[in-house]
Amino acid sequence: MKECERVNDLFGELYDRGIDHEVETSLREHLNCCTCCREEFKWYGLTVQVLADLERISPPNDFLRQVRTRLYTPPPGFSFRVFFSSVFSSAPYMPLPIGVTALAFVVVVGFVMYNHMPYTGASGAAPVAVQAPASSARSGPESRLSAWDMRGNAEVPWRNQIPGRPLHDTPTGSSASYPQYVMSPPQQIEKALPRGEFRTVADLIGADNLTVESPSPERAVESLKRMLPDIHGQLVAEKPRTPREWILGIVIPSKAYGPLTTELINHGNVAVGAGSETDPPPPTPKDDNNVLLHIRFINSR
Amino acid sequence: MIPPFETILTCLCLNIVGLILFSALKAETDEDAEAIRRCQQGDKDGFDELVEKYHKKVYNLAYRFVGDSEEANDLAQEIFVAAYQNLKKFRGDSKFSTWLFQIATNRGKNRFKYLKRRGHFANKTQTEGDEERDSYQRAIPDYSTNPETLLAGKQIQKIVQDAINELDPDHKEIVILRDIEGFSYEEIAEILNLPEGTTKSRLHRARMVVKEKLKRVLS
Repeated sequence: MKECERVNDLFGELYDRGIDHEVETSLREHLNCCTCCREEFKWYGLTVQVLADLERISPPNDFLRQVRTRLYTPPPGFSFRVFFSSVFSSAPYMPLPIGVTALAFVVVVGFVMYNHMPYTGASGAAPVAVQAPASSARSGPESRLSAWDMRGNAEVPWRNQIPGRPLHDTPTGSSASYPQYVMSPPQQIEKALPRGEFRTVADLIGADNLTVESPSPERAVESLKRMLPDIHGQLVAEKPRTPREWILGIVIPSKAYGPLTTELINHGNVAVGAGSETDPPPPTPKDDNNVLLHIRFINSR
Repeated sequence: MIPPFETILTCLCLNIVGLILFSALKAETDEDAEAIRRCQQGDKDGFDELVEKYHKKVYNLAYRFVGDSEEANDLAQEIFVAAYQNLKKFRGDSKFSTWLFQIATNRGKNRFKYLKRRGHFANKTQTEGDEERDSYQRAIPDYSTNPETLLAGKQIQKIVQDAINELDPDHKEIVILRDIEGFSYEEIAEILNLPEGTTKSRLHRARMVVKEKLKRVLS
């Protein structure tokens, strides 16, 4: 069998007669006595003969003219049609119609997704995720969210649908350094809103009255007042209720809600809603560009 | 010590013989030199002469690479355009025909790979194969008793071309150059820039593959 393999490997040399006389003689002897190898060599020779006898294909009659035209004609200018067809046809297995269909599909899907995606605001106003200072985490749950907020939840049905952990549910006491978060994701707010009822940017970004629970509310109020000119806001009302509680009414551009909340969380714990049990402020009026907010500052000590 | 007169005479004779041989070789390699020189100087007629001389062989080679008249037409034109654009770089280190078929083989191989990726040959085989396989076998009923009758059949051309199309590009180019175009091993080694031994072994493997395909189809 090994001899047959060796003979098979030498078919080419044998056929082209590029082999020693002695080796050729031994190969011929093997072919004479091995039917299988003789048949294979016959097929080998036949294959080479068939390949050599393949008919010569003549070029078309006007081939020379075509070559001259192609050689001496300046190349055509840039064409978008040619460019795109070559782009698509150069990708394997992707002819032009499939490429165009795929592109159209991607565009449609992108358009649909864009229309159904919740607005997240342009200035980082988006989800208010506030890490409470460790000191405030030690205070009791009753000081975190006022009763007005709870009533407000009852009055505004969609507010109950806002997921996130309310302040009074946050774990306390077990660990002083345990971080607490107040979540008000605006995407969920928008989803919960009846479509077409609220159309302002403020609604979309989830702007609402706020309660700031701070160890030094006076400093927080001063800080907010200093910040207002920078964010093109105006102070429209200021009501010191008690020595431990302030309520400020401010009008700010909707897009400034994010920087505002960022600034406020530097001074303490921030929660949505600014009501008090006795005198809840009216719901936050909004127009297309500005939002009127009531911010309630309370002392956390 | 002064060399004997016979030695000097022998050396002179050898020099003269060498000069004659060199001139003969030079004449052989430079058969296209005049046309090339004219073309390099901007005379378009010079290149037309070269196209006229080689177009049949280049077209046939292109056809064997792509197995399709339209593609072969385009490929052959592309080969001549590439040669024309690169003629200024031709330094005459090799024969023009070797250089031209180097371009032709490279372009042919690339086009073959491109068409294969796009399923060109698979589609053709798929659509034509099922219908024609039966007719092949009807046309060649008695190969075992008389295989030579195979050569007479027109359809054998198609079978062999299909078998070549299924080769991988490295084997295909050697089969085309050696068995179809009839280049010598030295020329093939120069065109493909391969050692002669490699050329021979690749050719043998390619022939064996074609042989097996032929046997399979015709059996």
